[in-house]
Amino acid sequence: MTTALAEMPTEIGPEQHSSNIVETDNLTKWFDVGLGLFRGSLHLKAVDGVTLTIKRAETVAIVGESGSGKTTLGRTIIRLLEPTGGKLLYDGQDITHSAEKRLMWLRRKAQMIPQDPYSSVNPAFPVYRILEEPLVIHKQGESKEREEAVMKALQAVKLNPPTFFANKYPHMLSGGQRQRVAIARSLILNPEFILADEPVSMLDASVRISILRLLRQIQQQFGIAFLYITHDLATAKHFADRIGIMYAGRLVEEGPVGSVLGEPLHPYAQALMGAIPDPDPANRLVVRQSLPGEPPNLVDLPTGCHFHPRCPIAQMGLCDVKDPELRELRPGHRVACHLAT
Amino acid sequence: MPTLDVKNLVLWYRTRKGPVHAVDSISFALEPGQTIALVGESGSGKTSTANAILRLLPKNVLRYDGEVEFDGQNVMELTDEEFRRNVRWRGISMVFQGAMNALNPAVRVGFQVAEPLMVHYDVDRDEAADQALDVLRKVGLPADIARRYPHELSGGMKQRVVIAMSLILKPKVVILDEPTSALDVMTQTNIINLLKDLKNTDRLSYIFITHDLGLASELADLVGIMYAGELIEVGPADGVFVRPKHPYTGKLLASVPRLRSEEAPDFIPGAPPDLTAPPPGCRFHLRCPVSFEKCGWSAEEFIAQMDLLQSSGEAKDKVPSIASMSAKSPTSLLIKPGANGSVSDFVQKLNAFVAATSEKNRFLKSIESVQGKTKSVEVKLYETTPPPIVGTEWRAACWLVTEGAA
Amino acid sequence: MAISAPIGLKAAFLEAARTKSGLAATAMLGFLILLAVLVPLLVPFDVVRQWSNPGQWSDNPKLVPPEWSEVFTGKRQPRTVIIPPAGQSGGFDHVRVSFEVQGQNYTIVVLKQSFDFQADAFPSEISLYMTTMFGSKSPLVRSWLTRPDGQEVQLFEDTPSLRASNVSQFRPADVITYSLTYPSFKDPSYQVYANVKQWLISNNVTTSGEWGELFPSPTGFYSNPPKAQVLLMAQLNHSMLDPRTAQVLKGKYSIKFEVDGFSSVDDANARAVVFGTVYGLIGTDDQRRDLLIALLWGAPVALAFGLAGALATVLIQTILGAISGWYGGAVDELVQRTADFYLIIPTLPILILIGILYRPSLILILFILVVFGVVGATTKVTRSIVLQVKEEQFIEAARSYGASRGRILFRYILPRVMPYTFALIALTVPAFIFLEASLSFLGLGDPNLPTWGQLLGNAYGAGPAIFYTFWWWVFFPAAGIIFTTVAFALLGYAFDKVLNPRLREQ
Repeated sequence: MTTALAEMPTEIGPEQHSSNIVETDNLTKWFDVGLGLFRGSLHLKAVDGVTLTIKRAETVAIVGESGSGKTTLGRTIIRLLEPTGGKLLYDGQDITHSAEKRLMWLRRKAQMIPQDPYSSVNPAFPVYRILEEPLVIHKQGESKEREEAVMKALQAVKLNPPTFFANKYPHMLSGGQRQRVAIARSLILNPEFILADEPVSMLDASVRISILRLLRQIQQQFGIAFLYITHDLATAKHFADRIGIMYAGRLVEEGPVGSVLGEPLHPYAQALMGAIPDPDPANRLVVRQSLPGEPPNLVDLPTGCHFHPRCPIAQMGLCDVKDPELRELRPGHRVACHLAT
Repeated sequence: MPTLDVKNLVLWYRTRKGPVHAVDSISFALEPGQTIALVGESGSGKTSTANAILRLLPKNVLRYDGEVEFDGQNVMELTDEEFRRNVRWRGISMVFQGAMNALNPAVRVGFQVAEPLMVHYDVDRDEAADQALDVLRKVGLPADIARRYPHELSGGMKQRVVIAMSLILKPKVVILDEPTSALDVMTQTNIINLLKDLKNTDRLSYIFITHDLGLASELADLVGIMYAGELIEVGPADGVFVRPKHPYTGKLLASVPRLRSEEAPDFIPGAPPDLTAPPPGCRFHLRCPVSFEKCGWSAEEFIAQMDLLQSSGEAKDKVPSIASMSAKSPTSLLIKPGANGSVSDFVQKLNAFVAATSEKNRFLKSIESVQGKTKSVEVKLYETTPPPIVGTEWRAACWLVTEGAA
Repeated sequence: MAISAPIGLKAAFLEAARTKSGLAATAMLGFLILLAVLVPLLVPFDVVRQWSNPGQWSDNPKLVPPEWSEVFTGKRQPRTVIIPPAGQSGGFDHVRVSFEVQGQNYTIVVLKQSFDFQADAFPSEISLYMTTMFGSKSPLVRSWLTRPDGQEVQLFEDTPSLRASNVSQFRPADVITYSLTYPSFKDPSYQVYANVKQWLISNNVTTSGEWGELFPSPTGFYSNPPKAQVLLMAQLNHSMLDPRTAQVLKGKYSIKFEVDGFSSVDDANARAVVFGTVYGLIGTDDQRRDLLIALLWGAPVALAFGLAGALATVLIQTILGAISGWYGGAVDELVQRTADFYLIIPTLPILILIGILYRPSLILILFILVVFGVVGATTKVTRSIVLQVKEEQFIEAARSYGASRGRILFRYILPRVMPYTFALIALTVPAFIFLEASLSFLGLGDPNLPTWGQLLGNAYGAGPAIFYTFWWWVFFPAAGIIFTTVAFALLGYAFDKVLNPRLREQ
């Protein structure tokens, strides 16, 4: 293992710094679901050609319903999954098919914050050990320095006083506090990029905002890029710089938050926005516009635009035949729809 | 006459840690066709309220009383058997949280929908199936669905089946416990639209339990805000959503990130209290931005807050140095001044500190008097009681509201 | 409100120990462990090694209940009285006179000793032991019993042909045993019945005819004839002829040997054992062995066997199950199919076969059991737990910060599985104890080590009548097995209660 590492650059030198932390080009991730005779011929196309760029120190939100492929996209980007096709660059370096043992540097620079506060941290370890683990694995520092790092991380996530929380076990903490521990763990290796997969969806409304604010603050303080995966457009609006909307494995619209939510161009994005109520007593008097049907079966996707069977403006002969490309229709605002202008 | 009139409903559980005040004296009334949304954070007692109304009680009930008038009859006086036969499902039915995943996988959905009919009315199988088909059609499902098994249906369809099950006996009140929490946004909207439609055509009354204020506003005529087992505000949706009376309602509304407004959401500091030992006075006072002397700080809370303030760092040099604190009674405590402070010095410093920072550190407002003793300082706190819920159409349990109304 | 299962072995153990069954289990196991530690100190292993050597146990009464059982009968039961050979304290008085008559040397040796008998029941047996030293011609040995009522009864005459080189040492090889209770027809000690008959007839207690009814034929006794020790030690009246009515004559008895030798070197020594009807804390078996020793040694043997077997199999199965669940794919397939195969192997019949063919030692039995248990039910259970833990999100987070698969398995997942493993060990121990007991019961266990199962097997092998009548032979080993297995089962149950959310009390 050491010899293999010696052959490879374990660090990316400063000269390699790219302004884009993550770049994907037509990234696909298919899962083989065929059994017996169909082995190798049936695929669940969780991610089906996503081209996305995440710049340094920005937050990109990926919004989609369950089964849209947003979680798989996140996992593929930090190489917990190997892409089936396309290209994946991290800081300018191609990691599409790198072997796990050659990715130790990525494991230091890219971290993740899981969703469920009840399983996001190891329940058998005290907080101190949870936070020390990544440092031990990456052989960073002596125990004294590691202790300092742990205390600093706890302070960064506002678990004060840190010595009080360091000895607690997760079951002694509230859901919000556990998510703070998970965030502290993601910070401990000074990463450049953090994948936050629905980090607040299981928390109470009053706690949710404090965690999102903390993430925002951390991003600004440490200059970390975030990929925020969520089903909740409203939090994405308030906590992301750019927003990407996924439908059936594809990015259908992507751009700056103001532009995308101010003027959604894709019919799906428009429907999604229309479906989410803000608290307003007038809501009860109207019937909300919605889409008919269900998202498509990912094993047997519609031809052309994946959205066309549910689309209110689909044109037969075009939308059901031709895959729509992401086109930049507004500054930095791309849409994958033949009919959007 | 209201369809459902709940008065002082109480439900406490017995646990190893002590009694849990899950539902503490809740009152509200529902006119025919009216919907109340019960909104609160997890553990605020929303589901327990529903269980208490439907008398679905676990084994470890410690206290269960109050009045539930349904159609003018106090159903709390019925025996369990009478209640089961005449009220539950026939008068008040429920869509349980996660029920769509609890459908029997081995029984065709048509039969599952029809079953309550056969149990309650002794209807024969064919007629029950016919009626089930009607209800399934009403919730927007195609006729052939009755012969299918749950695993063949999508989440939205299963949720519609569950709603059909709750409607099959034509109840007047349906309790909806987070009916869309596991569904996608689009499906959620479709289900909400269905519920709206049913409400208008059948004059159904809903008790809509949710943690999502946006969703609540989709169905609610009345809004009840629950906090730590209490209904702290209840009133018409047009009022509560727009000009909330209780500070908690205000903070809760402010914590909702909005899609159609640039206003940044705010959070509520702290966490909901432990229901085995709810705070004295107003249960929200620890997290309240406008709490004052009447809100019920106890000596123990005062000490904890003071400790927090001392360890927080920012206010360290400003807090008068303290050697130790001990509670003498629920409303008085003794403070030993730190190393180089005399008692009179300390009293002076504390008074100055209170005057300067009590707007920010609201617990300091609970000080009624500070008295220097020989070696320590006695701090007396205001004695208070929990705020009563006041008002008629629109009620709130907060001392500030009380004073405004009076 | 969800109450989560405790995390980690220590937390689980502490919580399990607080439940009622856990408390009981801890107390029972504490007792067993204390016993297991103390037994080797109290009863040296050497004693156990002699378990199958009958010579070791010949001074114990045969098949008698524990001493304390006399509280049930209400009668004072006799304890065993041993009169040691001359030269030892309390031994026979030894008088030897050599003289010459007409150029011929003669020696007369008289050995005499008395014992006090105050019990309400007759001894179970009387045995006399003799060793003689003589020249070319065997001496004439005669013996008498003198009763408290002054009556003297001759027991037997013999001219022993076994020549000892030294009588003071009383070496077992030089000793002739005269059992008064179980003489065979050819034995000189059989004379005791003829002598007693003469004595009783001369005292008008019986007639020749009546005696003939008691002992109808020289080759066999009928159902319940009076034994020599009853006739010799009963009050002298007609009731003594029926052992059910015979009354013990209490008082001082003395046993006398006279040896008439025909050379100057002749000498003799004797020993006598009057066997009691009760013995020790839990009695003896048909080989006169002290069952207490086997019962006590059964505890460490059962514990060691059960624990070693359960630990080895459950740990191996756990690790294989964890590897199978964690790595998945071909490894998973291999382990699971092997487990399926192993589950259908009939272990007990195979063990019986091996037992019949090889009579394996306890260690070998253990080894075979472990070999047949490297995969099995625990592999499947562990795999399913690992599959659950694997889905927890901190595992994925650990992969994202670079934890290796091995580290995740051994540092994160296995510690989560350990409490369940411990519960399974606790529940598997009884299975091993039962298995060993079953094999021993079938007579296929280790013949050199007394185990509880073996005691039961011996009792059963001695015949169904014995199995039902001699309760102490069955009751105590069975109680040992039940006590130990219940202790472990309770421990396992306590663990289960703590770990299984559905069993957790609200």
